[in-house]
Amino acid sequence: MNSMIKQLIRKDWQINRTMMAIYIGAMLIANVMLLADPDNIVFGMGVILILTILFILCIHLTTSNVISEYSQKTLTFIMSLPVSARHYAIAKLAANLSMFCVPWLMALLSSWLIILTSDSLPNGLTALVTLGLVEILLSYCLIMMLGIVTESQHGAIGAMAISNLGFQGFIWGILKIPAIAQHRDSNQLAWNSTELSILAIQLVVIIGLLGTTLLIQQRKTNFI
Amino acid sequence: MNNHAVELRNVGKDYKYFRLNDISLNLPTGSITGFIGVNGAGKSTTIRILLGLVHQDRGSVQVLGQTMPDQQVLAKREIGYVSEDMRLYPKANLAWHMQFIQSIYPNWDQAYAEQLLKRFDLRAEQKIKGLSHGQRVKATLLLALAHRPKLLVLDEPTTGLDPVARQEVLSALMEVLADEQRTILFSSHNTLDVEQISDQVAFIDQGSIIEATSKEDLLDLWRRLRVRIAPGQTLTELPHIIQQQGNGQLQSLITNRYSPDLHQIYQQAGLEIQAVEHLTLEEIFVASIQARREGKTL
Repeated sequence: MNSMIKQLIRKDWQINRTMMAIYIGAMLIANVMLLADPDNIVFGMGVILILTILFILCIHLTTSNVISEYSQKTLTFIMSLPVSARHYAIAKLAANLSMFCVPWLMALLSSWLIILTSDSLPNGLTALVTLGLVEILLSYCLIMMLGIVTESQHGAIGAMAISNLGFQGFIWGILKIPAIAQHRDSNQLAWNSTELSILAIQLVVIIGLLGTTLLIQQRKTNFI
Repeated sequence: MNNHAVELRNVGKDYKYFRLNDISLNLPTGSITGFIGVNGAGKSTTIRILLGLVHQDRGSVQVLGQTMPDQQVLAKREIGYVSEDMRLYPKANLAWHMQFIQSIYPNWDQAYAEQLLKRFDLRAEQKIKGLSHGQRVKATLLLALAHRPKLLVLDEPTTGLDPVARQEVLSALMEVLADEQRTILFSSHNTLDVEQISDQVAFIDQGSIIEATSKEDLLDLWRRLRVRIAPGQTLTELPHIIQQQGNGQLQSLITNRYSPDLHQIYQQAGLEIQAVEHLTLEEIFVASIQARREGKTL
């Protein structure tokens, strides 16, 4: 990786370290809450807290690390350095994605761990949880893309609204699919072809969103 | 070796409400060029084009031998840029910014950075959000100077500064001038600042370069002539007159092609030259703009 891209990624992590520490801390607390019995209210609160953290992080990271570069005019400072539009776009995507993925991975791994070690939770639930979390990751990529491309808070908030509705619709929709609903209640760990197909589509969409962001950024002729 | 640090040839850019009109401008290596224009004249657009931050629609841009915007990464390794509307990260302190810039530029001169820190009365541990506007400009200037760039581009750096901060910034720039290989482009609408430090001057108005020459030539060629007209005589078309003011017999003429030969021409036209005065850069700038807007050829 280009050294300038590495510097920019490191810069974003350093600038947002306090914010990230708070989110990672909150995610740790939420994960600890999942250790409670699944019938206990603390467990439910833990699940809600995980989803809340991830949804807030989607918009917070985009506003504080993407849109603020335009609104606070720090982009002029960064673009005056030996960096091209392509370097900047790659670094911004990599930094934001890596920052989002730390709490996201914590949520994914802890939910797998809780499900697989719990007697009262069916192992088949891992597929549904994974698809739901990947859908949140996809939502984040959409919000980040619109934040980077439109350079506006309105664009990111619009994407947030679409993503939020999209997530509810996605969960409602996949639970209507018999193969997924049946697997959710079974103790089978292996994924069925329906689940794998949905996951593949989600990953293709994520790659498509990231690629489109890069392509649009590279074609821009005005950066400030 | 190319003796121009910056070469703009027929560079144009079209916006909805503004057009940069295929401008050409050369900055000789080691020169300090004052780039003067009113707000909205096209100074910042020109500067952003030469840094590769905005891509031109037409024309070619060479900066330190690199073609812009394609080779902007190579060019920007040797460029220091300070802009009035540039901001540093508010939550980070100056020390963090210094470390960040040091990690990017191998030419970073820590001793010089510390010297500038003292000179500008800045504290490295202070967060940027706690700095005044003047301190922010000085902090940005420190970051731009301490990596020893070959080209320093300053877009209205003294705008909004108090007189003391402005003088400190100008003094630091004067010191930098000691390096004859460093080229400086200094944009401002404050002609006093430009007059203090520049050796070349370029005027821009409504997206067109209307004058680009050495400051000495400009100050030498532009003069105000106080003349008396004989009773009953009217002032006919005289050559090289940019502006004419006054009533009755006493008139004030501004020329942009002054030479002692003009005396003879004007005397033959019946004028009695009573005084020849130098103009300030501001007066020349204002007269140039007015003449151009009246459709006169400079």
